[in-house]
Amino acid sequence: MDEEDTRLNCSICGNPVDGDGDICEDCLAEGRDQERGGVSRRRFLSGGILGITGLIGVGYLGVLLKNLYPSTSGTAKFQDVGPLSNFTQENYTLVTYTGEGFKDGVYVRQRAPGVIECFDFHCAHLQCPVQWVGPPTNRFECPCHGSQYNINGQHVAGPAPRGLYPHQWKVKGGHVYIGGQIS
Amino acid sequence: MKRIRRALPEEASRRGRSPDAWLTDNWLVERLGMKRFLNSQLYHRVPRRVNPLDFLGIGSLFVFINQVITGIILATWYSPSVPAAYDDMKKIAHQIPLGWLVQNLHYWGANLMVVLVFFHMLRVFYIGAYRKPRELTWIAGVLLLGITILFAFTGYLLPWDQQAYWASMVGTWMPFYAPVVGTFIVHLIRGGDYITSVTLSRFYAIHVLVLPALFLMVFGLHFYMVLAKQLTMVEEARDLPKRQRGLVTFFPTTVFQMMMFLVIIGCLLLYISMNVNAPLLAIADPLNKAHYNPVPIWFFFSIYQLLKYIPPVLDPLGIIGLPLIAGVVLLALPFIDRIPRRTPSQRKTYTVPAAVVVAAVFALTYLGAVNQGIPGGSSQVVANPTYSKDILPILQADCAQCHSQAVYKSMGTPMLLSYQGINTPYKGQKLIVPGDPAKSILYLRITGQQQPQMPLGGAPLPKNTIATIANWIKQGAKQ
Repeated sequence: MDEEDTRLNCSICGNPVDGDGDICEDCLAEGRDQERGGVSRRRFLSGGILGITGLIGVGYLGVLLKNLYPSTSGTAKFQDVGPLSNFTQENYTLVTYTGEGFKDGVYVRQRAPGVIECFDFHCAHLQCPVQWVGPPTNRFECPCHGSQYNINGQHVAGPAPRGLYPHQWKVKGGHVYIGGQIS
Repeated sequence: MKRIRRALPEEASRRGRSPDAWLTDNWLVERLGMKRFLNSQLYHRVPRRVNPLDFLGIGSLFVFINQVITGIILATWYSPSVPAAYDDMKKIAHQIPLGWLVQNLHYWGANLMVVLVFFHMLRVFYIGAYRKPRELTWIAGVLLLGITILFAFTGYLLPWDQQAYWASMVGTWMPFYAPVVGTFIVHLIRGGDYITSVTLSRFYAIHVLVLPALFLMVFGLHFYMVLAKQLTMVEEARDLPKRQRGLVTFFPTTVFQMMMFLVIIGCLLLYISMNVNAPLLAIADPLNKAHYNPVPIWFFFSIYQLLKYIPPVLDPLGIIGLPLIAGVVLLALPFIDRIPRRTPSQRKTYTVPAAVVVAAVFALTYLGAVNQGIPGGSSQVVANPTYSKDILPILQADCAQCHSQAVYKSMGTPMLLSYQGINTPYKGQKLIVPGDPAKSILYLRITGQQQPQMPLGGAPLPKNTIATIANWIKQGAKQ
């Protein structure tokens, strides 16, 4: 094939272009492509290629995140965990709170007649399960890094950044109802 | 001694008489147009002296292929849902032909791969092989280490036993300590507030779809760079004085040595897999009724142990900061270390701090492995317990309901709450035989070796408590 046929003409001066692209070396060397002002065809197209690629990527990422991020958990329901008489003042009882697709342990005691105190059993440090050690120690202890909480769930020793997470509760008809975790 | 110079295979091949025609002169090579490429790769000279440490990379690749093959087999028998996942693990181990072997090969292969990749990196760092023009090789390698760890982390949850569940509970909570986005990341990973079957599906998808694709992409870059820039040992061979250069070429000599190395790795993997079963504890219990003490994956032992020593305010730094800093430093290393010399002693600015860090990681990993107890906590294992100080509080807390003076008088159960009582034989049998836990009824009952297990109808005592009681009996059951 004759080479003359495939050569492009410079988009600025109209002379044939030797190498790749649509601007001749003379024009490039003298910066004529910059002088023309506005956005050159070349920059417009390159920007378009990058922009479209980016848009498609962001679109997929958005779908991915929206799809995978769990819907906000405000749907925690109250659950009957037994009659009030099951819970003493001195000792915590571990009850099961069944959420959507998961089971959670909640320590419950009757602080005063009809008044409940309850805490999630996951340590506030790294979520190991804490154990209640009854009188005379009266502490929640974590087996992982030794965080300790007092009978009111307050952090007293170890690396935890805060106290145990409480749960919502209510007493109705002599029964204790446990709700979602309060952060 | 006089040596006759023989023509190198490369030269022979260029002249059209290939010594390995089956490899370099076949239909496929011709169609691919790869003859010249193959010749340049196969027939370069290498130093005669071999160092097995140069084969750690190909060793990692070999184990990765083992993971792919065994992983595909496991995936055909396993369904990532609760509670099927756990039952499938048992089925694979006990019912499916050779299932136990495939499972063990995959489990030990995963551990071996972490070790091999780590030492591969250490070796490359030690000889400074990441310097120009091999920066990209190194960066891809660091990414592969990260992907390997993610493989192990996501794979750890899949058996859905206690160990898997609680290690993942702790592990997925770690991003919580990242500023601003912490909680968002935890929820995104878990697909909810806790580890559930949703998390299991996620980890499975990441483990078998996302990570293999990522790994192959980054490995492609890594391997391409190795081929394009050649190994540093080839460079070394070029720098050697002519007399010390061997007539050894990469193929077949070095390739055969590599195969020998792979055979050793393979035998090791097979030997462990045939003799030690991958652990499978009780099925995951989100309520942890049996008081299982969470233990992290062994290569997180160092961070786990470090958290016990640093003040709590520094926890975010230990959990998020250190791994992040380590990753950034590793990635940037080829651009920071510009000392053109290659031997470790000439680059002490880098090799000495690195040696300190590696020693610290090893020490912390060891300490984390042997010391699963907690400092200062009452559920810590007591090394030299006495009855009044250490044992009585345990018995009062966990056994008093049935073994107090009052119940002893009314029901005749053994009385444990006094030193005299615990040393009184019950129905002619000694409750404790000082020095020998295995003959002590007390110990046999709390461990469940003699039924019924104590505390009767309750959860077994925590591991550490049992260990304390064992120590007490071993050391003569002091008062």
